[in-house]
Amino acid sequence: MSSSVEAITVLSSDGDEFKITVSAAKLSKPLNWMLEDVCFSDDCDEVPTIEVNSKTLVKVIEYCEKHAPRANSGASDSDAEELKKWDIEFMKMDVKDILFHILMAANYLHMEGLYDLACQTAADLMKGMTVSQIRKIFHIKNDFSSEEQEQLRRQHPGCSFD
Amino acid sequence: MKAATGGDNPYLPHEIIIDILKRLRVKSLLRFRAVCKDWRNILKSPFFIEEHYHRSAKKNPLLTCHVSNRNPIYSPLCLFRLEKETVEVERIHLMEFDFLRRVSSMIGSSNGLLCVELGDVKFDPPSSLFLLNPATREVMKVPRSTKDVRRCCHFGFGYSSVVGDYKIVMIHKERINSRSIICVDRVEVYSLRTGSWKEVEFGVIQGACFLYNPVAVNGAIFWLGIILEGEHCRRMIISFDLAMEAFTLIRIPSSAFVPRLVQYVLDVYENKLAMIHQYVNELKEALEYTFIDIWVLEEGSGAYGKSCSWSKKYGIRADPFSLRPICLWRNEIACFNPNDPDLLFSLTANNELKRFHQSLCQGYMPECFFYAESLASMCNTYFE
Repeated sequence: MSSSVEAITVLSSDGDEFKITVSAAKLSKPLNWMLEDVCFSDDCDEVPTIEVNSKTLVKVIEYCEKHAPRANSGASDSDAEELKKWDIEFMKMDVKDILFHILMAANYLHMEGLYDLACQTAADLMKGMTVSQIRKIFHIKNDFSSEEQEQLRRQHPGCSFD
Repeated sequence: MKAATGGDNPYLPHEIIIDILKRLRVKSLLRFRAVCKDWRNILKSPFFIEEHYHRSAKKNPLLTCHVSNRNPIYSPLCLFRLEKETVEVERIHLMEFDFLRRVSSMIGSSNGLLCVELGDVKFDPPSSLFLLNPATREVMKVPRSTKDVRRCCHFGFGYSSVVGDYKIVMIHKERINSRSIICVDRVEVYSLRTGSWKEVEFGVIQGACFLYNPVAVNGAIFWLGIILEGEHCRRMIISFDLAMEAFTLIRIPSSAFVPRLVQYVLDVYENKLAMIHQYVNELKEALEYTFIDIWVLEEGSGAYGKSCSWSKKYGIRADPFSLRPICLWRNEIACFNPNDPDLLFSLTANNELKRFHQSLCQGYMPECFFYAESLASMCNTYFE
């Protein structure tokens, strides 16, 4: 791999171009493979596409760039504390907005840290939600018949379908 | 309204939904059973229940114990959570479980299910056994064995993944007329799957004396006991394999007999049986110190017919002298100090002593078990 390459260009699923540094790309196995392909390939004109939309990719790259120094070199406890605080700020997004897209992207890009963080954020948001709010954000239809609802209510008093 | 319909949220694949759900507390999950049939089925599948429990045991490990009861709205069952500075104590609310007020002892804790005893075992009328899941608030009365006389009993409760079943062991003891020795008279085992009691062989433990509470791990229940060997009484570990339903005696490492013994405590260390051995030794110039060693039962782990061996994980000096180990907690030794009853202590492998304030137990925790929240149910015993 040529050491002169410091960043690569990738395309989002909407066709926008993004730059990602080599060290940040190492946080994701699929990105790392792309990186190697780009570096070894003679045909440098080809820009790889990542199946993640622009809005999400911005956030994913932001996460990678922030976490790359620590992931590549290891860091002190105070850095770890600082990074934790940063993660909390970073995750202050609405589930209706792009959290689920981030989850899908982290899963697709094999980014364990981001996936874990996004799952925990989703779980924390869901804690206080009603059943009907949950159905809305997950696009779920209530498929219980009225008899089944009645039966569930009998088995679990206080069980609410709304 | 876009937001109200979930907007352009993508549909999440099953595996991601499961990864999110397993991070939720039981209280939320019980509510989400009503979302749809698919979610209801996820939440009652043994696979999910197990994944959720392992996460909860790792992220939110608690201790449960039985303390004397003064407040009428709480049961004598408590959950202890170790925070940075204090021990947060949560008492299990009674609400519809009024009977829990009469819990006289805890028998065991496994996968989030507790086995408790009501009333007094030694006197009539015989006490009752209950299984309960404090998180889901599911409760079940264990039927009485037809031969149940309960003069003097020892109990054990555990789970075997080999047979996918929870079992309660009841060891009856009876005074033998000609001698004044109390011997094991009958052993019965209750299976949650079959819902019935049956008698099992107990030859090797006939003359055994059972000390303290048992510990269940890896499909076996372990008691510390005393066995008469020829003319000598010998401390041994008595193990009961829940799948084979057979007893085995396990020797205590011979080096754990030397110096002056203070006590042994059984517990679990990295999913293996552990023995906390506290003893007194002279260090220098006639000064005495207490030491605590952690021994772990390796391979075979007490399973019937398999060999096993002990390995010493670490040994530390217990300072102050009066520290008494209660159990292992997050691989540290939780201790109490009779001279300092408002504190719980924890000793790390590096001999660092941490202090935790608590006010409930006055230092002494008699029946103490590991507990973590789970969705485990008595209706479906499979827990992979």
